[in-house]
Amino acid sequence: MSEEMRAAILEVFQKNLKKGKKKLYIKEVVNELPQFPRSEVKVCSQKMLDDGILAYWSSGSTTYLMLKEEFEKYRHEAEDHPEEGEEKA
Amino acid sequence: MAQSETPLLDELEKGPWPSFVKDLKMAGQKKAMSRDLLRQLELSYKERIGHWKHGGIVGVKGYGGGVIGRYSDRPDLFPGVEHCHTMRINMPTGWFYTTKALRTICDIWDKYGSGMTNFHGSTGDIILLGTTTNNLQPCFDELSEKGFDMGGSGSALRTPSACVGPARCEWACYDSLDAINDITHTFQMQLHRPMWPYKFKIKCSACPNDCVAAIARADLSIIGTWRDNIQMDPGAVKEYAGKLDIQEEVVELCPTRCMSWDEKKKELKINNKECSRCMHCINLMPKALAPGKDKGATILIGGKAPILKGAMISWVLIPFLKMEKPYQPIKDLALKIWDWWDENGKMRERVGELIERVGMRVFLKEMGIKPIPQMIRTPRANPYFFWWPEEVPQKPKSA
Ligand code: HEM
Ligand code: HEM
Ligand code: SF4
Ligand code: SF4
Repeated sequence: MSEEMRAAILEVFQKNLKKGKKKLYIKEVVNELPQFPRSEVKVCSQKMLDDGILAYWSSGSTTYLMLKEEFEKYRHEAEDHPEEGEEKA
Repeated sequence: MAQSETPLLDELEKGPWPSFVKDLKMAGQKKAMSRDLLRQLELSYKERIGHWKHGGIVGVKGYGGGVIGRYSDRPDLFPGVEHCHTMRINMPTGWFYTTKALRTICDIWDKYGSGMTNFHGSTGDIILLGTTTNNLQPCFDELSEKGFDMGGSGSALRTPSACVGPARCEWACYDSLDAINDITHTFQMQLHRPMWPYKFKIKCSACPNDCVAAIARADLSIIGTWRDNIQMDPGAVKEYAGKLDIQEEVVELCPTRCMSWDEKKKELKINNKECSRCMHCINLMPKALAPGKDKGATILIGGKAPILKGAMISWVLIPFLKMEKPYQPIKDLALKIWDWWDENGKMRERVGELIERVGMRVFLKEMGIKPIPQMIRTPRANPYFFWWPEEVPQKPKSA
């Protein structure tokens, strides 16, 4: 696993966090890293999930990724209202 | 007698039908969670707003799905439902259990959860309703030790499901149970590690009666069919003649009008070339008629329930495929579809919606499948298929 890709993925999350966006679709991560092949970004993200750097967040029907440390702060602050058009599961 | 805490809900106990209020009260004698669930619901009935928060916690070690996180927004009033997560457990294919297995699930759920269950969810899974974050992992560990596993949720492959098929049903045109069991085992990664734009469902019905409603609910619907003639026992047809108005109830309700009935000779004829395999005649005369002998399945694509956009019914992608272990053509097709959808789908766009957006011809080209007449999107509604310009034979210009 290239360290370069890991760092780039981490940076995507940190950059978005600064803008107040904690949760990202895997697709958004892939889209922000056009320099890497999609499948490799996914494999690398999976690895980062296993290593406890990233964490899944799910509404039940839709899955997002977030930084593990943010997830720990945020996990019990579930949403009052799921996003527009969101089915509950 | 003390005044009831739930006067509005109590109304739902009246009448002869089963009542979830009665059931939850019973569960509430053992568990604070069921008690507080009713009390919170009562408040919602009074205020006409929900008091649940959605999302968050998603699973157990190594899994990205299977848990649906729910929290009360009034834990001060209802501490029993501060957490009220649901676990989706992959059901045995065809929903066959020994009583021992059922007891095992119930005992584990009594220990770690609210005791409330739903056999089964519309997904097909065993639904265990209501537990706390801390209990998720130990509950899963015990279930896992007894041979159970999580089902799918989130942006992943959802728990594949099958009709009861050859286990109990004479109409099965392939082994829907084996197919789903095999597919489920093959795609464990896709089931437990959500990495797609949205959910994806595979469902197997072993004949066109489609008892799991694969055509309406699955992105990839695998529905049994046959390509030779309907099997007929003329003697048994004659026996039906006394009990059933074959002309009116069978022949005239055949959607393709491909049958004829000779009342004098008590003879039924089927023009099998025109038969659309709707099952109507077979359902009415099961002793006399049966699916043909050359059996397999039709593979359809794109079904979904209404969420962002309206409901869609799957449409034919492969009219006939022999269904033989290890189902490699289906697995290869699924992998190809996922790869294309994953690359091109927008966030939370189902594969059927993507195909609708970019067009069937793009999809077929990517899949390497040739267009054929059976692929008509909605039968008898829109006969047009748009070809690539280079595929259209050029007519010599007339002078
Ligand atoms: C306003 C409140 C709610 C609405 C409108 C709602 C709506 C829905 C819908 C549309 C589905 C999909 C059903 C399907 O086709 O499978 C669903 C599934 C589900 N919901 Fe909710 N829901 C609500 C509240 C809740 C609450 C409070 C809980 C739990 C405490 C909950 C737990 C679930 C579960 C576990 C499923 C999946 C069941 C299965 O897999 O069969 N929902 N809900
Ligand atoms: C007046 C109250 C309620 C009404 C009228 C109601 C009605 C329904 C109906 C009609 C369905 C669809 C069943 C199906 O098609 O299979 C459903 C599904 C469901 N209900 Fe309720 N329900 C109520 C309360 C509750 C409560 C309090 C809970 C949780 C403790 C609950 C949990 C669920 C779940 C999880 C499903 C999804 C099952 C599935 O996906 O098949 N419901 N409900
Ligand atoms: S779909 Fe057909 S084969 Fe399967 S259970 Fe229903 S009738 Fe039987
Ligand atoms: S299966 Fe349906 S279409 Fe075919 S002959 Fe019977 S009624 Fe007609």
